Amino acid sequence: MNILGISAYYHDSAAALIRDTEIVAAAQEERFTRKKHDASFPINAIRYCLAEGGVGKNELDAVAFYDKPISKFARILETHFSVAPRGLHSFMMALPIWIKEKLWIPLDIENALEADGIGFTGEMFFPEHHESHAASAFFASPFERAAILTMDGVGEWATSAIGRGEGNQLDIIQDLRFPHSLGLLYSAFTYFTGFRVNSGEYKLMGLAPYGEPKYAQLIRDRLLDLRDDGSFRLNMDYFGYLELLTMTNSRFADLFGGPPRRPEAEITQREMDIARSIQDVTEEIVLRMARHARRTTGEKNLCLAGGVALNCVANGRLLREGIFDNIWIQPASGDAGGALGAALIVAYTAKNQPRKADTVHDSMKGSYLGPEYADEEIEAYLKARGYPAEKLSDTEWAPTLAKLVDDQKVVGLVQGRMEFGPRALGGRSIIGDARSPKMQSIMNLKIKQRESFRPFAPSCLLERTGDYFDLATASPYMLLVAQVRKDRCKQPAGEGRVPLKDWVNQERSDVPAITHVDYSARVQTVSRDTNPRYYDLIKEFEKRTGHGIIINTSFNVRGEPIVCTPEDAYRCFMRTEMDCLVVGSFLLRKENQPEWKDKADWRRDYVLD
Amino acid sequence: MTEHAHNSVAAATWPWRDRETKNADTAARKRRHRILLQTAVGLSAGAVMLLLHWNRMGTIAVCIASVVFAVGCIVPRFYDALDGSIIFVANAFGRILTWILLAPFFYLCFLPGRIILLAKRKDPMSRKCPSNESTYWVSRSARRPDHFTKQY
Repeated sequence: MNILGISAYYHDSAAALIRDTEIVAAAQEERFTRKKHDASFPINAIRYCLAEGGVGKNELDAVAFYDKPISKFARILETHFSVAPRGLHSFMMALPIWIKEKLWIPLDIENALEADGIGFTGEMFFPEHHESHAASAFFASPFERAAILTMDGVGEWATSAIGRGEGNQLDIIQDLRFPHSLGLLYSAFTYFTGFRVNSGEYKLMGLAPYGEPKYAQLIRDRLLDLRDDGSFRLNMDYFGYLELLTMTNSRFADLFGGPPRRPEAEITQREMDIARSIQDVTEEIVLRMARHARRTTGEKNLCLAGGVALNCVANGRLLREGIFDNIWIQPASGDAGGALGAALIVAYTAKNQPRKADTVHDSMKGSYLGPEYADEEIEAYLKARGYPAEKLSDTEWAPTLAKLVDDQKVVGLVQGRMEFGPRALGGRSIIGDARSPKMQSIMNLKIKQRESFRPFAPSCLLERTGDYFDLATASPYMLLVAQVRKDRCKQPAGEGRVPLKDWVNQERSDVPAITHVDYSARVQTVSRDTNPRYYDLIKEFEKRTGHGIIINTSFNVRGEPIVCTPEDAYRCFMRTEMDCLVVGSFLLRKENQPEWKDKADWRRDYVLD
Repeated sequence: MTEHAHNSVAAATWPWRDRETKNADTAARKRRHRILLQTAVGLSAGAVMLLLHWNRMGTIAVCIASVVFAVGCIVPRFYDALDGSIIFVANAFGRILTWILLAPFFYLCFLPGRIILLAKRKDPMSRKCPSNESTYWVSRSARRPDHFTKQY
């Protein structure tokens, strides 16, 4: 039985293919169209999934869309009924798109599949938005039974949900309803601090450690009514998203001492303090919700999904608090993961197929669910384009790459299947030496071309995790933040009294490139089971240096989706100051490459996030 | 992964070998369709007008259709530029028309709706904050049998 899951039309469109109950493929549309957070119908992702699964004409049994479009439309109409005569602009923005495309989703799906020669006469399913998130978390998890907590902006009406999963069944027990949303609260602050909504939330999280929680009490007192069980109401007098085209309004600005920061303007201490404050409040809400979920369900395992579950600082705190014995977080927790969840809930609950869970291994295959390219194809491409490359044998591959990293080279790495979800996990990554005090600055400004305050994450051998971090569990999807072990930390001189760009580059541990200003790190633990080549590379690095840890950042520049094909990777490699590129078994050194003739300003290709 | 799967994935996601040819073919095919469609619409409209004895308008429509066809066949680049300009103007016109139609609809429909809600003291957004409810969690009822197949 082939089931295609689709998420589309809001942000992060994606497709996923389930065969019986096995996850065969999943990918975000942005990777193919090269438009970050692409919300268009994911025709390219669908083509990929069907090709990966070898699904031919009339072999698709069911299609699952990740939400209920008519319920969502009803919510939008009710919102405008509630705010009229205000809200004309948002109404004019929303209604034509709904009339033109969002109300015709089944037709769009059928037409797209027909045009691609697949043909589809099977059933179409529409689980709720938060059911899709919950299913992506529970059915892909290693647990036979678990509590489920989903938190995001908004689905149909629900903005957060608590549920329980057991075997092949999943039920939502309670939810919080629009407009009272933790995701939208966080996004409001993302907007106010000058970052892009639905894109810059992780920057706000990265900025938080630079600030003090000066506004946390103000947020609690004025912006929301928070209950012990984690439920809350927002004071909508301060928010603009019901009737304006902005997340916050002038009252909100008055409360925080001035207008929102303009995008790209200098980040001041106010933004840092606001970031810290909202991060603290978010963590408090998440903890209360988790405690309530534990009490309500009585389960000892927790599955998390929804955009807020990408807040790895809150996830780390949740883990440390020990409210649940075990936590599993869906690596594609944003709307992209909804495609996977929709297909999974159809496969298990709607089609009543049996589910087996061993409590140890999840079914995400390391989240390596995207396309992979054969060496023959890569070689043909490199030769056709005249790009000089060395082919590395299987035995040479890991030692050569480990030496390059040890030699302080920045290496672009494309190997194996592309990751599903926002994190690069060694399939489409840029890697470097975590021991280098200069590497963070080099990577941020010369390669990633992004804000200097943003930290880098480490990939660490699973068995060495305890040597570096206060983390007793695996974190294969880079969704947990943990503290660097105290015995590795150093106290930099003049901390907090230097400009932001110097502050971030101070040496704080013997792995300074991945140690954030609060001595934390967003850890990826690497095991041989899910990515043997990447594991071997870090293992070789450990043999050379004694450190089983390297920097891992996504293979892209600011505003660009993570690379997908070798061609995307070569383009990114040549546009930046990366030293080497490894594509499959091929090593390309920058100095050997022909001159790159690029457009006048290629940065305009991407909308800055 | 089998070689066949590798090839089909590469063909679906990274058709670097024949991308330029494919793109050019697709563009040419789309252009042909547009030229034929626009010519057919123009000629049909012209024919109807001529039948109705709107001779001047009918002649203009037939002439425009003929020019579009000739330019499309002889100077495709010029046709593309012309077509792009027409689309731009049509989009702008569409936006203006949308505002003309929808803005009054918004006030005629949603404003009375709001007034009724206010009169009935109902707020679908539950904006009262803080409220005297013991919790803001809303309990869910059991799923209907057709829950997964309905769009609402």
